[in-house]
Amino acid sequence: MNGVLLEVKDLKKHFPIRGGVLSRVVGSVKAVDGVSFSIRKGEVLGLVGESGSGKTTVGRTVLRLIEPTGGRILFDGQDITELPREKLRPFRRRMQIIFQDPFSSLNPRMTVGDIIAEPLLIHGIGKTPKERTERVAELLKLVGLSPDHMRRYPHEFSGGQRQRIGIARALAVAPEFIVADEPVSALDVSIQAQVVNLLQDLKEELGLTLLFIAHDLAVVEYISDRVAVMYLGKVMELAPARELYRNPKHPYTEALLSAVPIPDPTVKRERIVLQGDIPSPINPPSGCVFRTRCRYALPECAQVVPELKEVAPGHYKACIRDDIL
Amino acid sequence: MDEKRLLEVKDLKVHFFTDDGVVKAVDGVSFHVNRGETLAVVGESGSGKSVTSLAIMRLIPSPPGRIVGGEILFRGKDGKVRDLTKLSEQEMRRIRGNDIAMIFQEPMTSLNPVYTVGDQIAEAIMLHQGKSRKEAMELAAHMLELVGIPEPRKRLSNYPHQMSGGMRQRVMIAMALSCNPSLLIADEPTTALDVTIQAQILELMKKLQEELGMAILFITHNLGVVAEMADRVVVMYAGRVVEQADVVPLFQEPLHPYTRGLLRSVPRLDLAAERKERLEAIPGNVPNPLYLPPGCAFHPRCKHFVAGLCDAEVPPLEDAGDGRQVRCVRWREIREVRA
Ligand SMILES: Nc1ncnc2c1ncn2[C@@H]1O[C@H](COP(=O)(O)OP(=O)(O)OP(=O)(O)O)[C@@H](O)[C@H]1O
Ligand SMILES: Nc1ncnc2c1ncn2[C@@H]1O[C@H](COP(=O)(O)OP(=O)(O)O)[C@@H](O)[C@H]1O
Ligand code: SF4
Ligand code: SF4
Ligand SMILES: [Mg+2]
Ligand SMILES: [Mg+2]
Repeated sequence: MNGVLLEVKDLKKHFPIRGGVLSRVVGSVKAVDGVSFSIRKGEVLGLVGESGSGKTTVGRTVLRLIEPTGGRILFDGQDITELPREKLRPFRRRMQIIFQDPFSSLNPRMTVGDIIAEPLLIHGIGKTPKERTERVAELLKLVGLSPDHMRRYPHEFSGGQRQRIGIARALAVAPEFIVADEPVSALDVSIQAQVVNLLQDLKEELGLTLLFIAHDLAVVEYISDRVAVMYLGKVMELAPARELYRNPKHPYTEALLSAVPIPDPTVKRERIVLQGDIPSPINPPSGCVFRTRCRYALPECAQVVPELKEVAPGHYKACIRDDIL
Repeated sequence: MDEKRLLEVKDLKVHFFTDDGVVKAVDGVSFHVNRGETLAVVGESGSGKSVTSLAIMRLIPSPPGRIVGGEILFRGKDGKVRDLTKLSEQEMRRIRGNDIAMIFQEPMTSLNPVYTVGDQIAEAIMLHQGKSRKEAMELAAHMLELVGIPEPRKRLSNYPHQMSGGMRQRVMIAMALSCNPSLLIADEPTTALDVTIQAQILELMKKLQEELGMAILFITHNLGVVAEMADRVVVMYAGRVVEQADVVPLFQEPLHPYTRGLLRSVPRLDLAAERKERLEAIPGNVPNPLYLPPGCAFHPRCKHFVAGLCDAEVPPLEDAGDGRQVRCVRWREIREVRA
């Protein structure tokens, strides 16, 4: 088994809410509230959950694009949680991000070549313009575009092509680890599969390690080795992908899976419809944060915050009940 | 028009006259909706789904858009069949208030942020049903209850921003159904919502359809939602209908190469665990509407393409038996090729 590349321990990110004339801090949004997981080299960890559950914040915090409120981030064995800027630089090169929106994440006034070459300049890779141009051409081919595309502008490309450009930019500095934040959500169905296949190929070819964030459970199941399910800033369940989907142990995962419409009109299922909305992360419920929508909730669920415990080999859940599922 | 039919769109053409050229957003679209049924319209972005539904409502922004051809026959509550493309704005307003209602993807853009939801629903009811303010508020509360909003009376005084996305979509549905329409047009009503909230809204729409009996024209790009909601399906590509069939045959034996490709390109939760093979992506890109490929617009992406045959002229929409239709010159041969 490969070694661990990224380890996250009890990660917290609370965004302050300011109010009043003095804009004092009057509360906080607990976007991420005690999240722990690790990703092995060459592994894809999927991260799913409803919008607002904290997926993006986790992704950006592990890259130190936003500063954590608490917890530790270890990359390749080194604690990078508090590394100052200059010391973080070599790590920045090894960790990249792909964004959800292929329309707004590329600078419209830069050519595709300049967009992809930018990280090379920042990290001082490719000494001469010629070297950089060669690298850009190579990257364009790698993501299934043509080197001729270098001189064109983002608006001349379709959504799927722009997402490929975003992927080429992320790969420019030959990172080991990539956070892909909803990389296919904004794409048409017929284009999604192209980008998923591309990521899959690149992962194998380049030995990449991925944190793959998405709300589409089928896409996540497809690409991930293991999957973590988040709800209100916490991980509810974490297991090997196949195991999680076949044999969910947490009531939230069970409901989430049951909500996904299956593209087969002959499949008739009894669906668990979750009542109500996800509560506000400013005032999350006490005890188990899922209890206000959980059909198995007991009075005790309001008392203690369930810990993420191993219930089967490699299968973790945060729920006090062992007599269900 | 056949007795069972509520709506019949015939050879509809909607073009946009832009500075860059003419965008033939809808270019000869025909389909029908029977009373009380759900017809799903699927297709990728830009295929003309929204423009078709806006044309039925006669809400095409003009300029730059215009209905340049075709008919939209609709059977009103009074039993009379009218061609909506020929109605005056005043007659159309009556249809919109009484017969056809529409809900959109992003409820925030269709709710007015400065009025309470109670005022907005009541306003619609007073306008179209000539009720007093008090009666309208009563009915508004009843509608909110019908769409499953807890404490409906209290919620009447909420502003849209005080509600979650799922709640706002319920309000939109309440408002749309308050006039008891015979046709509800739902344009991607759950696309902006989380799956758990989507499940709530889909269940709600099914329940309300059973109770109220309206037909639904359901626009979506999610094949799972189609499988769950539709009786029949229309598949659009680049402004045209490429296939039309009942939902079960469409999923079991798709005839058009685009429909086949679409169905194979989605990862499936119920199967993925067993068959973790590569997704079969449709190659290439969605065509630029200003420069549609000649002949079959799908030909640059089609693995069954034959030069000289597929790119010569636009294939006709042919009957394929059992009320099915398909727009592909090679559909008979392709039908024989399994997978
Ligand atoms: N800069 C910020 N200030 C205040 N609150 C924030 C900020 N960024 C995120 N949040 C809040 O943190 C919570 C988690 O946000 P995040 O974007 O990480 O969730 P997500 O699961 O990725 O959602 P989505 O799928 O909608 O992008 C949300 O309640 C969000 O409103
Ligand atoms: N106001 C407009 N001006 C110019 N073109 C438009 C306008 N509205 C829609 N279109 C064009 O019409 C085509 C179909 O759009 P639409 O019906 O919105 O697609 P869908 O709803 O299937 O995503 C697209 O090519 C789009 O760019
Ligand atoms: S701890 Fe209680 S409320 Fe939380 S998931 Fe388990 S049963 Fe449900
Ligand atoms: S007409 Fe030709 S190109 Fe078009 S879908 Fe049929 S086989 Fe493919
Ligand atoms: Mg996000
Ligand atoms: Mg649309």
